[in-house]
Amino acid sequence: MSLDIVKNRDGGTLDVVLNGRLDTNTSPDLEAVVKQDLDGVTKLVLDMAGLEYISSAGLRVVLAAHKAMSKQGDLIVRGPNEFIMNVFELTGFLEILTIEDSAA
Amino acid sequence: MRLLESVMNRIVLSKMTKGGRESLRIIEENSKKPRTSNQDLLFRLLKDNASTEYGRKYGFGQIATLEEFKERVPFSTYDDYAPYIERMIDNDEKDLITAYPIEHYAVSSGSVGVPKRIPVSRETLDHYNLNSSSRFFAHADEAYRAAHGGKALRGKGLNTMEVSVRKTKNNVSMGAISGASVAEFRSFLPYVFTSPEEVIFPEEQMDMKYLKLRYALAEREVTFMMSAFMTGLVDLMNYLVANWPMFVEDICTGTINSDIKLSSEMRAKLEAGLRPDPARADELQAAFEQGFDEPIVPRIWPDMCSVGSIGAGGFIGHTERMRTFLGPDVRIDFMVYAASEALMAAAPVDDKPEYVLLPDSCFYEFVPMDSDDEETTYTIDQLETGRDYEIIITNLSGFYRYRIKDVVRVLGWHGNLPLVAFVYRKNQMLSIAGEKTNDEAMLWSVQRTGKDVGYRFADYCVYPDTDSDPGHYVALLEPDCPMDPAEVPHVRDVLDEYLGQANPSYGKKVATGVLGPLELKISQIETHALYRDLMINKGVSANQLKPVRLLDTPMKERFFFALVEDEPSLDR
Repeated sequence: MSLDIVKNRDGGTLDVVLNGRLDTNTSPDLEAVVKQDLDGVTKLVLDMAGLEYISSAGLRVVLAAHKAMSKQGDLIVRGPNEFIMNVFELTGFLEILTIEDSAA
Repeated sequence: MRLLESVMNRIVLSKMTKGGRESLRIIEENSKKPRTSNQDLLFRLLKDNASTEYGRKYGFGQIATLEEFKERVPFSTYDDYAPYIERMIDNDEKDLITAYPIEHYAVSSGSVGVPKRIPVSRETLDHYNLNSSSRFFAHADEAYRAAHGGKALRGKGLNTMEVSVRKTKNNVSMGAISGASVAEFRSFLPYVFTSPEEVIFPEEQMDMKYLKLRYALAEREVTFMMSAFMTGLVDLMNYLVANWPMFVEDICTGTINSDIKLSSEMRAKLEAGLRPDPARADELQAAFEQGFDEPIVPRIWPDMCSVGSIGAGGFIGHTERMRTFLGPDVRIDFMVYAASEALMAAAPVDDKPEYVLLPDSCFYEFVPMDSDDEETTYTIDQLETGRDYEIIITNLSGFYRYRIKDVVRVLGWHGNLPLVAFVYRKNQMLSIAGEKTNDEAMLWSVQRTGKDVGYRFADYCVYPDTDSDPGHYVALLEPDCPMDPAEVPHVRDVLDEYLGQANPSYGKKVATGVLGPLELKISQIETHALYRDLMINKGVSANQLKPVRLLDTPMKERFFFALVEDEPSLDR
């Protein structure tokens, strides 16, 4: 299964809506966003409400996004499902990420 | 290289090479001395430190024989010194455990995750400088001369080093010991390494992989590489494979890629030293477009002759991977066997993962691993080839009879000095039912399994499951390409078989039901790389990150078990 990425830019806020699976095959697509689309972004929202699965390769990209945004603003992870929240918790990502639920 | 840079490059390399030859000369000289000469160092240390608080407590001044030393001075661990070290750092108190001035505190990860702060004296730092980097340059010079008709080493090196040195409130430097050593040569580094000073001593968070490669790729005459551990170089090569078009573009335009996050001040500073180099970009593009199936390093840096990195023991899988990038002709110097507490041994020759013990670096005692008596120690002159020993050191910076918890194997002799290999950490041994499986056995089994089943396992770790009855091992293997789930049962069987061969006690206990059969899980690709990224993000120095082999803390257990492939695991 693939990953759909929809980007919505509103001033300094970039919403990146992810649908599908973020794994070894699809993480380069999100990595490209992290590398190329963050100029002037002060708030990056990774909307994971439609994300079904995240692997180690996907987590590395999330960590890279966290590192990039720590210099220029905030990273918000929005609406991860229970599986992904569990992965975040077990891998220590909850300690470094700011997470909002979908309704926020 | 510009003229001044070129002249300085040769001067600095010549000085380093000269120092390295001195290191090798001292090793040869010591190898001719009687094996008992190590005791001369011990009695000097006892005499010099007799008036310290620790020395008075154990009567160093009254010790006249080795037997008295063993009777009076107990074995020690870091916890025995921690209260003294706190007083040294917080109150600048002197003469507590050592009479020698402390030049640096080496920060190293503790066994339960509490950082250790290990005092480092001038003599210890000198040993590091001479026997680590300088000694490497002597070998690199030999390799270069062999490939270039006897000409002395020239050109620059790709170094993965990142140095971050803090100060105690009393202005003593603190950080990784490798960094302290590098910092001493700060002003000369840009003449011998491809990275500019801002990248070697980063003052802000930057994409270090990009920057190290960006500068190294721009140079044609890169003749050597250095990294604390081989993992650092393999990570760089993987990054290169994934991102080479970006480097070609940036070298062509003389820029730092706009996707790389840097402060505007740092970007301006770095870009000021860059020039467009379309010819070099074309060369690189042509090499990369041929693919990476054949070794890439000789195609982009044809003068590359030597790599210096700790790549033995648990790193051997990474060394094999690095070889696929290097090709067969680049020599590998396995550098040193060292810890923050001491540099204990150095590689006397290239391409052999064996180290000669340095008798002027520590006083050594050894406990045979095949003995039940853990109190009786043997000295350097009493070792036997082929046996494994726990190593106990009295170092140059205030640690006495210190259980470093390493086990070494005597491989042979370099003159009168033992040649050793690090075998495993004593506190990293798996033993659910007394079977004592060490990492050497696990590594051998994983490598043999990989060859048999046709996969390269980029990394692995093991968890001792003692909650189940009977207890059993859970191996987590990380292949470097996706594994067909249908193949997993066969891989498990092969690995279990090899483990039984590597450690017959394990095999017997599984056969008799004392231990349950091996359980196998497949780690997701990039799991170990993610763990390294996370540790670096938490502030751990990349130079200190060793591969995780044993899941011995709840944090590691949760992390690695969360990132296994979601197919059902195979047990029983």
